[in-house]
Amino acid sequence: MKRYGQILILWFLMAIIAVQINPIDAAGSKTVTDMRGIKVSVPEDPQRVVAMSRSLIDTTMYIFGEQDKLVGGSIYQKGGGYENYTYDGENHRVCTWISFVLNPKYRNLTNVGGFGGPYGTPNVETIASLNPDLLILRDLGTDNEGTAKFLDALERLNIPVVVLEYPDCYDNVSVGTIYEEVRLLGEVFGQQEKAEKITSLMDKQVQLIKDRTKDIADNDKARVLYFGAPTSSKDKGGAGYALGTHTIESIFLENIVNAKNAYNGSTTDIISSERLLSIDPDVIILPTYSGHHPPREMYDDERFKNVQDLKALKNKRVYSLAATPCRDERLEFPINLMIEAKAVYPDRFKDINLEEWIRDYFKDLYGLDDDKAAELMQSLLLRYLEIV
Amino acid sequence: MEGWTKRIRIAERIGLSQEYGFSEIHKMLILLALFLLLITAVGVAITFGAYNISVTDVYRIVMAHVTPFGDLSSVTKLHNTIVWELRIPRVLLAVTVGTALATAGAVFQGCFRNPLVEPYILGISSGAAFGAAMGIVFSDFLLSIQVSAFIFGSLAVAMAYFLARIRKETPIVTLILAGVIIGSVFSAMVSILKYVATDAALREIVFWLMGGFYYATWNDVRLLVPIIIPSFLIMWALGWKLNILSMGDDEARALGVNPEKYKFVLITLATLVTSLAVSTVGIIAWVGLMMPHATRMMLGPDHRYVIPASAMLGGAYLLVCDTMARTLTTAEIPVGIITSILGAPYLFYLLRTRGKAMLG
Repeated sequence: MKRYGQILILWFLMAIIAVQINPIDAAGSKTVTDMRGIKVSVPEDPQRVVAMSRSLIDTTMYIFGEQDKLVGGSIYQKGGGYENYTYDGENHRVCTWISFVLNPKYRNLTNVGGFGGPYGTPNVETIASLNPDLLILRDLGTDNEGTAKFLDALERLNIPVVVLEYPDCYDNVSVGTIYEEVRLLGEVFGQQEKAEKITSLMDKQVQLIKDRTKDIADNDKARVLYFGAPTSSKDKGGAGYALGTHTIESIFLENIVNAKNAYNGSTTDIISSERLLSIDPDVIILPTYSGHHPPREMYDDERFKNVQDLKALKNKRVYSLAATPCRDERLEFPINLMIEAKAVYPDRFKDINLEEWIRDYFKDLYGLDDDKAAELMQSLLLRYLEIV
Repeated sequence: MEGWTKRIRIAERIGLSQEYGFSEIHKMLILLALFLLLITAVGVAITFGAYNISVTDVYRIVMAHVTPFGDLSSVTKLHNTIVWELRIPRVLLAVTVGTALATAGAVFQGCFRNPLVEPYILGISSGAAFGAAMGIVFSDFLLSIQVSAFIFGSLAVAMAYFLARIRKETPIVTLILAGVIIGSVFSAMVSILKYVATDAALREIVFWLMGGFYYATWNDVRLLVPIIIPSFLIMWALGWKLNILSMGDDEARALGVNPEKYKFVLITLATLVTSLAVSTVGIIAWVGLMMPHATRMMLGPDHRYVIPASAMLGGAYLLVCDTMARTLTTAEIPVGIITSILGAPYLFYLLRTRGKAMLG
């Protein structure tokens, strides 16, 4: 009898250990391992989701057909995302927020703040008031301490949190991290197949660019400067921001487009006009880091008159990227890579008609008809920024 | 003659004639040395830059522009642009702004009889920051960030001044407190604008708040020099009155000086030059606080000497800091970082070597 008792105790202890190793999920929940390496128990079919990213999560959820489950997130609130632009001789009111164009209802969601960006600081109480059964956070790696405190507060509220990590969170910055983020979202929503389709589509474009530029010898690589020129200094000189070699833009430029960053600083730095002249890049790329700037500003504006001797200006090799937020690679990141690749190596991408190529990419990615794709094309400000 | 005798009597009374063993000749020699230092700093600074241009070419370009004998045919258009359009306006602007901030610091410290006062004490920096942020966030409505910064910087001081005015008097403590209040209100409003700003606008506000000479143009020099230099000369001319004001309002009245009138004139001029400087190059700390201290330790408390010495030392110091800011690394270092890193040990050294004599 005593022996049976010992066996029973042993069995009981083993059961406890087994449960610790492989937790049995509560009814209707499952366990996923997020990008921190933490096992998180999430609802099998989440119904009230808060998404804190700068559009990666909500646009992916749109493709999954899960967009109605969003109750809050990092939501831009100023003017519904619309701004006025003049091009083609007309005034245009354009919304540059792709998630708003895809699903106008996103505008009505509760803003809970975000780490960086125009959303305000994260508000845990607002999140709690939404009574979410899942929160997904894209950690941009900009505020480790703040993020840790925020996650700690959510844990105390028993809100399950899945963390995606932006490529900048890793020493080895790679596009593969973005694919991993999408795959994790697929796992959370049980949409692995669709997630795989998204990553394949993105990777196809990346490989296309890589294949066409991989044989460029080191000496033949174009020297490219990412230059963020402040918008409002209308009457001032040509100083601005240069994106250094450790920025995600530069790493993608060097690893995928196979060009060289002309600026050898490591971070995003302020440079003067004199420094800009001393760098003298072959190509200047204007990202949206300091707003939306078309190349004509550099050619024509009074504030750039002292840098007109730059090779890139003389040879008319200044290009803008599309109006997707800078420093936030998301599902549209291959578009800017293709714009950049065609700008840097036009001969190798002669056959690519950017307008058609971008339209096809949108249609493939989001499964849109021509009208909706045209609306998205407009949100990229392609004409205003002289991309097409 | 009678006026001069009266001045000597007052000087004896306020302890300026025998101060700390600084003779008049000694002071004049120090002023001359500072002037030479400033000229040398300008001469050297124009030869440094991110773009490699020989010293001969630099001076050939300068001579071609400032004398009728120069010849630009042997230098490239690019070199001419770099030296004449980019470097020299920046060097001159650094000297002008350094002069403005240091002079304003000396005047504020004298008026408020407080060595901890800096030109931003009455809320100029917060007001100007708010004006600049307004110009950035509402760029469609406001024509220029610089004008907006200047207007709000001056407005902040005017509000502090009138807030502190009680029964036709402006007690110093009330004025400083009013400055702190107004400064806090404008700082809060800057925070609101940062909160509502777009990403790009937010970066621009931060860019502006860091302060620097990245954008210097001849237009800035043309705007600032004709206002700052005459203002400096007037403040210098009022140095004697400032000596009396620094003894306190009652003493000043007893010596026949109307403290309200002179305080108003001096604070207005100091505010004008500071607002102009801040609206053009952003907020640059330390120069206005430290330079008057440093010159007082070299020359004693007589504002007739402190003001010009502060101006020249401030101009040279900010020029050296900005030259380092633009040449030490591939990027621009915010100049405020260098003014603090270089200035703090120097002031510490002065405090250790001369501070006992000066401050007891």
